[in-house]
Amino acid sequence: MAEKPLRRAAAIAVIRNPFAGAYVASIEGFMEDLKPLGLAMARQLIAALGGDAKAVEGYGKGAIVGSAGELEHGALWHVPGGYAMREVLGGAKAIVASTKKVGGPGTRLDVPITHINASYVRSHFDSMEVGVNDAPRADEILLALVMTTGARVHARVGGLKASEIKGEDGLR
Amino acid sequence: MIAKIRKIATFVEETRREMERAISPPTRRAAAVAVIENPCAGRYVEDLSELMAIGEELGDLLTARAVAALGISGASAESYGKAAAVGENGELEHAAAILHPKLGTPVRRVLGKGTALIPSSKKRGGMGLVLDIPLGHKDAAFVRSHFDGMEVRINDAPRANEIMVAIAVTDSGRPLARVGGLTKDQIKGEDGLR
Repeated sequence: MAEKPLRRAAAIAVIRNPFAGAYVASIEGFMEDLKPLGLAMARQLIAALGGDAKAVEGYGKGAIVGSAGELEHGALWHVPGGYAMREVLGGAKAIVASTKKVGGPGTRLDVPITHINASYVRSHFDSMEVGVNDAPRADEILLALVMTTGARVHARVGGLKASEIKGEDGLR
Repeated sequence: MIAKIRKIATFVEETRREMERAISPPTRRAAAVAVIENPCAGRYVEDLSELMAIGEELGDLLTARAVAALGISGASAESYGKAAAVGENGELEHAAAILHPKLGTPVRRVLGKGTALIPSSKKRGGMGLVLDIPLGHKDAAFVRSHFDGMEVRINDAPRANEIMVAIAVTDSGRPLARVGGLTKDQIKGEDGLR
């Protein structure tokens, strides 16, 4: 038996890709536009995990770009997705693990997960597979945020423990 | 070799055009994937040191394969990542035992450097599952142009008593990277972050 059940939650939004279909040189401004959506998704995640931000120990993010878009459009999620989770968690220190791809409706994505305050906490390295059967369509982007409430079940491969975090550099 | 390897698959992806623009030189990434027997399948094993030792072996073997597939020197590699998928008779923790304690050191030995955390993911599933290997710059985790991921799949793996172990290496970032952030020529290379 796990001492306490591990819970993992994913929030997924499927949005229209404003840059689908043609090369657009300047796309950075869209990161700012995505911040409110990121915040809403991060808040939903905390609600799904019981409503207490302090219960959240791991996080990750990812994006799937539909076929009329570019891989680079998925990179637009880094800043707003990371900002949103840090904001609602009250200042998590570690970089948010991430991945991205281009794919059709039903594409699956393994969203990597690490500890929110120290990337090297070994018990919290994990991932969660997400996907939506009818997304992303060609002119859409699927955006994902993931949060978890603890270590892997039966974590026992050593390394830095959550109880040993110094919390200065986001690494250890 | 402790690992009982059934097969090794190497994937090389070269992007020459993106959104109707030529990518020159093409961005390239390679993944080497080993399908091994899971010595801990089917029962609870407390001490996972055998899997850790297998991770050490595969760190060397798979990194060398990926670098060779790109035809570059280890030192020319720019980003990396690792992932594992455990067959249905194993535990997620078996993937952790392979990936985390000992696999990284030989990866860094082959590449000459690697101050950044090696991004990773893991899952459990059946044959033909899709495994995403997250990618990040090997010397500075915050290099935004190199945040990426590579998908691998082997139609007949992992069987119930097997584990798929994958290492990906690139010689470049994303094609047409243009969302700002830290660039590779700004790397200080001290803390693995910037």
